[in-house]
Amino acid sequence: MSAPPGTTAERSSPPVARRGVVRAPTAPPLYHQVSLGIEEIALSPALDDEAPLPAEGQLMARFGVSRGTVRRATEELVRSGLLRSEPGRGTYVNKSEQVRRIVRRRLVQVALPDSRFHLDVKEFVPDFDGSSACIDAVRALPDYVSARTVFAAPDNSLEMLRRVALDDGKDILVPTYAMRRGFVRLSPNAVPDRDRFMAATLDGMERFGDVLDLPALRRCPPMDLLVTGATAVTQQGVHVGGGQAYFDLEWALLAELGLVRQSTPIVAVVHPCQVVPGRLRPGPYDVTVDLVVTPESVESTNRGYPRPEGISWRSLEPDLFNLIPYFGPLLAQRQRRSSRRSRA
Amino acid sequence: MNTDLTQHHRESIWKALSRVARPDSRFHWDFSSFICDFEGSDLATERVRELPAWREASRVFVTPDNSTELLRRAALADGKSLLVTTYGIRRGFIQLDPADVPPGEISYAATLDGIDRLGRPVTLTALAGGPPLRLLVTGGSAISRNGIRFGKGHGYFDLEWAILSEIGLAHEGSEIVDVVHDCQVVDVDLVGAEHDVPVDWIVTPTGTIGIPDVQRRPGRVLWDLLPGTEHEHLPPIEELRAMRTRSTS
Repeated sequence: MSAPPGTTAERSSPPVARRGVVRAPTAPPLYHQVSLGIEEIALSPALDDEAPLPAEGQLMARFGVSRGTVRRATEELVRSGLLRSEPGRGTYVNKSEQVRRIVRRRLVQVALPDSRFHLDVKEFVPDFDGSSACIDAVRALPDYVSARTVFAAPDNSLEMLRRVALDDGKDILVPTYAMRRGFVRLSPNAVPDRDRFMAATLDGMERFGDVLDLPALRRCPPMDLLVTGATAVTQQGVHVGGGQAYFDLEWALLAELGLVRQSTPIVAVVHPCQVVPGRLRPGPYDVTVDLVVTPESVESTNRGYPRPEGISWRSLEPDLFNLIPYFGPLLAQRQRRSSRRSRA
Repeated sequence: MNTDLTQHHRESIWKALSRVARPDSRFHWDFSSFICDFEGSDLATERVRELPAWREASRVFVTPDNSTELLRRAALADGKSLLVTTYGIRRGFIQLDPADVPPGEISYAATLDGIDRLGRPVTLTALAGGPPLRLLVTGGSAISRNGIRFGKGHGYFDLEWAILSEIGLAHEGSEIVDVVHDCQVVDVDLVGAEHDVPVDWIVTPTGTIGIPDVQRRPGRVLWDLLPGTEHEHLPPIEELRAMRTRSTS
C-alpha cells in the first residue's frame, strides 16, 4: 500500500551501506533549470487557457539553449500537469494548475505548519491565522444553525469547526485523510465533552467516531451542509482543490448515494490570498461552492454551474478506485444490479 | 551490519506488525513513512514508567513516533517536561511543559498536533548548558536482542542522540529505551555501524529487557556523511554547524 501521493517526509535511514562514499551535491540538469524558467512564464496570471506560451524558437533564444532542451523542459511541465501541448497550435497553460501553484506560493507565507507535512502545502489544506473568525461566521449562517448533519472536510483549517459542531448538537461526517479509511461519523451523544478536542483532530477522530463501511454510509441521513477548505476558490464559486481532487470525489460519492442534492449548500473556508479574481471554467467533475468565507467576509457566489449527479466511473483513476474503500463494493453492486436487469 | 539478514527480518517483521499495528491518520499503512502504534503500547508504556531512570527524570526526550504517544502522555501526567523533535526533525526541537497543557488536554498534548500547538520551539543554543537528560525514549521498526536498532526510520534517533550529545544533553549517565512490539525484537546479535546507537532497554507489552554491557561511544554528528543527504540542512544541523564555526573562529 503506497503513501499518499507525493509524500516527501519519508523516514529513510542514513547511508549505512555507503559508508566512506561522500555524496557531493550535484547541480540539477540544464533542462530542469529551463523548466523552472518556463514555469515562471506560465505562472503569469495574464496567461489563460486560450493564450499560448511563447513559441519554441522564442524560448530557445530567451534561455540560450537548444530546441532539445526546451522540449525536455516543456515535457517535464506537461508531465507535472502545468502545461498541455496542442499539436499545430502551441503549448498552453492548464489554468487550474496554474492557479494552484500561484496560490500555493502565497499560501505558504500565511499557513500554519502541519505536524507531519510542515509547510508542504501540496500535501494538506493548512490552517491560517483568522480561521477561527471564519468558523464564527459559519456558525452564524442560517444553513448551519438549522443543520442536523454537517459534512466537514479533514482540513487543518476546519479543526475548530469539527469541535464546535459537536458542541452545537450536530452530527458530523468527516472523510479520513485522502479517504483511505473511508468516512467517519461523529455524534455529540457518543463523544463526551472532554473528548471533543481530540475527536476533532485527524489523529483522534477514529478513536471516538464510527468508521463507516458502505452499508453504514448508505444509512446516514442526508447532509444539510458541506464545509470545506480549498487550495483556491474563485468569486464565482469554482473550487480548486489539491491535484487529487478529493473534495470532488467525496461529493460524487455522496451524490451517488443520494446523501447530497443540487441544492445542498456548500461553504468554502479560505484565507483571502486563496480567493482568485477572474473566471475559471469548472471541469465536468468540479464541484462549485455557494459561499466563500474568509476572516474578513462572507460572499455568495451565485454559482451558475450544476454539480455532478454521481460518480463518473470512466474518469475515476484506477489508483484511487483501489485505495478508497467504497468504490469497489459500490461498482460491484451496480454491476450486479445491471446484470440482473439484463437477464430479466 | 549484514544487510541481507536485516532485509529478511524487516519483511517478516512487517508482516507480523501489520496484524497489531494501528494506521497513521495521514500515512495509513505505509510503515516507511512513520513508526506505528501497536496493540499493547499501553502495557509497554506502563513498563517504562516502572524504570528507575523514568522516576529520576524531570525532563524526558521522546521521539515523535505513534508508538510513543502514550508515553508522552504519561510524561505529562507524571509532571515531567517533554523534549520532542518535530516529525523528520524538519522544524527542530519542541519543549512541552506540563504547566502549558490546559486541564483535560493531556491526551491531545501528547499527539504531534498537540505538541505543535501547545509546546514551544527550542534552539540548541537554548538547550545547551541545561541539565543532561536521564532518559531518552524512542520507537523503532526492528531491534536485535543485543539492542541494535534497524529498519526504516531508525536513523532519526541516531541523529537526535548525536545532536543532543554534542550540546551536552545526552551523556554516559543517560539511558535509552526502545519501545516496540514483541514481533519487532529479533533473536540475533547485530554489530552496529559507527552511527548506530545501542539502547539500554527494550520494552515491549510483555517484557522489559535490560541489555547488559552496552558499549556506547559518546554521540557525535558524523559531518563527513552528511553532504547530499536529506539531513544536511535540518535546522539543528545548521545550528550546530554555526556553533562549531563560532567556537573555532
